[in-house]
Amino acid sequence: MRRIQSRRVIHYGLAIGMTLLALLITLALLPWNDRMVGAFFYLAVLMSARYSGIRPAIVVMILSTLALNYFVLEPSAQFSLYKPNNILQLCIFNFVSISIIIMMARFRSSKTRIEQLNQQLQSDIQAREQAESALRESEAYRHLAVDLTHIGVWEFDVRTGKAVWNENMFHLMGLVPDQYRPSYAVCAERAHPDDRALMEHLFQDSIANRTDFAQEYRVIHPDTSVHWLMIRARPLYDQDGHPTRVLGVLLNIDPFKQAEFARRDSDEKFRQLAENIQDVFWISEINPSRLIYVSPAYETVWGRGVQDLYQNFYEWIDAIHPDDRDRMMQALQNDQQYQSESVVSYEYRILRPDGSIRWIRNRSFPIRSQTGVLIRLAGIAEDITHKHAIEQIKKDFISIVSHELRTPLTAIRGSLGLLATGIYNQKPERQAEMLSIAARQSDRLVRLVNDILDLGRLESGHAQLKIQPCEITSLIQQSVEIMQAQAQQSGLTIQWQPLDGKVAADPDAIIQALTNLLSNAIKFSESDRSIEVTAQHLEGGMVEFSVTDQGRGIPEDKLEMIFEQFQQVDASDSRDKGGTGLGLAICRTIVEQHGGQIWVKSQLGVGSTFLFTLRSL
Amino acid sequence: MNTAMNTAMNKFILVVDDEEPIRMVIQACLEDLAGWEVILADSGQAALDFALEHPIDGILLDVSMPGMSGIETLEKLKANPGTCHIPVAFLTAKAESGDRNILYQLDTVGVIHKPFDPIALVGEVSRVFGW
Repeated sequence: MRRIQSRRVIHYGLAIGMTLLALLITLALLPWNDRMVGAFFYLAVLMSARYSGIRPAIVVMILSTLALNYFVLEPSAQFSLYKPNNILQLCIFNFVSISIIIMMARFRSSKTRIEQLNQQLQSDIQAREQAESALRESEAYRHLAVDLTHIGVWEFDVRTGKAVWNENMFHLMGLVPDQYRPSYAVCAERAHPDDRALMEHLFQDSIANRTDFAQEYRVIHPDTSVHWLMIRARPLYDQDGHPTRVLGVLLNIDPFKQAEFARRDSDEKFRQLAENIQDVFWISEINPSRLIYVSPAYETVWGRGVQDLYQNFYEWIDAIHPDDRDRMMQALQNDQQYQSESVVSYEYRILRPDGSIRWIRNRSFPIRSQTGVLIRLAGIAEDITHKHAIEQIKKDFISIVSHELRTPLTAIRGSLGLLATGIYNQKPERQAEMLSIAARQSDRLVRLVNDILDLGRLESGHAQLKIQPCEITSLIQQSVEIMQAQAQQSGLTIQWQPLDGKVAADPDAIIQALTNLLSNAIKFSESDRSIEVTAQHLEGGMVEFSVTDQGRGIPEDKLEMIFEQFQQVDASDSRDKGGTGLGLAICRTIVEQHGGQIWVKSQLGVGSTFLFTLRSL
Repeated sequence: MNTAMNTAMNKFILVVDDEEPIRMVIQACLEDLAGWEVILADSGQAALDFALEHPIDGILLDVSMPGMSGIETLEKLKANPGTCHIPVAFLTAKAESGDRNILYQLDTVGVIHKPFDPIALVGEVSRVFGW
C-alpha cells in the first residue's frame, strides 16, 4: 500500500518536474523562437502520459496550460484569457494534449495486454514442456516395465478377430515372431485344451457383462512344455454400446505357480504326517500363551475336541489327572529348563471325559527367534498307556520270578550249607532230610527255569513254530503215552478216542500243551479216577481238543486268571503239586500262536474240562 | 562266655513261612547251630495264634504269603496288646529295591534277605534282634 502511494508521489512529482523543465527550456528558448511555444510542454505531457499514466499527464497538461498563459502568452506575468488568440492557442494545446494522453493510454493498455499474453504464453509453453517431459518419462517407465517383466500387451478387434501385440506375446506363447500374425485364434490355439473352453467363456462373459477379467491358464509351447500365464483384459465399446476392442496384458506366472505347488505339496505332506501319525503334534506360542496348532490325534488320545483346546489353551491342564497336576504345574513354570535342554520330557496321566486314564509322554522342543529368545514350543505327545502297562507287567514278572527262584535257592543253599558244616555227620536221619530238601528243591528249580525259558522263547517269538499237517489222533496218542507212567503212579487212567483228520500245527508245541494239561489233570485228581482226552470237528474249519478230569474243580472267579503267569487256584499248589504256575500260561501262548483259543469249563467237586481249538486241514 | 552270648542263649523264636523247606532249613540252622528253641507257623493266622500263647522272644516273618501277607500279619501283631511288644524281623525273597524300602519303613527290627547263608544266619538274626 505504502509502495503504491510512494509510486504515485513519484509519478506526480515527475509530472510537476517535467512541467517545470519544459517551462524552463521554453523560457530559455523564447527570445529566439516564440513559434516553438508549447513544443516542450507537449513533450512533457507525452512523457508523463507514457511513463506515469493518465492522471499525472492531466496534471502536466493543466500546469502547462497555466504556465503557458502566465509566462509565455502576451502579456506575460499575468493570467490573461481575454485575448481570443490566447484562448485559441490554449484550447489547441489542451486538445492536442488530451489526444496525446488518450493515445498514450491506449498504447499503455495494449502494451500491458501484450505483456500479459506473453506471460501466459510463456507459462503455457513451460507447462507443455513439463507435460511432454512427464509423458516421455512415463512412456519410458512403461517400456521399461514391459521389457523387465516380459509382459505381453495386446489388443483384439472384436469384429475382425485381428490383433495387435508386442513381441513379448510371441515369447509368452513360445512362438517365433514373424512366423505368426497376431490374432485371437493364435492365442486360443496355444491354450491348454483343458483351459480353452473356460477361457473362451470368460472372454465372452467379460464382453457381455462389460467387466474386466483376470484368469490364470496354461499354454502349451511347440516344444510341448506347459506354462502358466495370467491374462487381464478390459473390453471397450463404441458410442452405440457395441463392443469394439478388448485390451489386455499377459504375464508368465510359472515361478509363482511353482512356489504355490511347492507350498501346497508341503502343506499336503505336513497334513498327511500330522493327521495320520497317532501321536499328537502341537506348536504353541510362549507370550502370550496360545496354541497355534494341534494335530487331530488329540481328539482320539484326549477324548476332547480340538476346537475347545484352541479356544481355551489351558483346557489341557484341566485334563491332567488331579494326582499329577501339581507336579506338572511346577515343572511347566520352570522356563529355565529350556535354557540348558534342547528337549524337555514329561510323563503324566490324563483323565478323559469318559473317566478313563491314559499315560502321556510329552516331549517339548524350544523354538527360538534369531536373537535367541524363546518364542515357541513344538511338541509331540504320545499315548504310552500300553507301554506303561507292559512295563508294569514286566516289573511284576521280574518280581515274581525273582521270588519264585529265590525260594528253592534258599532251601538248597540252607540245607547244603548245614550239611557242609558237618554237624549232621553223626545224625544220618537229619543228613537224609537235608539232602532230600536239596534234591526236591533242585527239581523244582529246574522245572521253573525250564518253564520260564519256554515261555520267554514262545512270547518273544524266537521259537519259530514249525506248522505242518498233523494227524489229530497222533497228537493225542503221543501226549497220552508221555503222561501214561505218571498217571499210573497216581493210580489214574487216561482214556482217549481217535479222530480222523489233520490240523495245522507244530506237533512238538501241541504235544507240550496237551501234556501240560494232562499233567495238571493228574496233579489235581484223586486216585482211581479217570482222565479223558477227546477231539471233535467244529463248524468253521476248527478242531476242538479237550482234557477232562474228575478233580476238585476250579472256582468260577479263577477260570480266566489261571491262564496268567504264576496264577494258581491256590498258592500252595506250587509246593504241594510241584507246579511252577506257568504251565497254563505256556499252553495259552502255544494255542494263541496257532491262531486258536483256550478256555476251561469247571464245576467244583465234579471236575474241569480244558478245551482248545486248532485250525483243521 | 561273655554277657552277650549269655543273653543270646535260650531264645524262643517263631518262624513264619508258607514254604515248608524254608521253615525246615531255618529251624535246623537256629536249633542246631545256635541251640535256640524254634516254633514254626505256615501262615499269618497261625503265627498270631502262637504269638499269643507262647512267650516268644522274636518273630522271623516271611513277607510273601498267600492269604494274610507278612505285612498284614505284622500290623495285626502290632495292633494286639498281647503281641505288640514282640520284635519282628522280615524274611523276604523280593529283589526290587522299591519293595525293600517299604519294608524298612515298617515297625520291624530288620529285614533278612533270601537266599541267606545258613552259617551266618544265627549271627544275622542276633544282630537284627540286638541279642
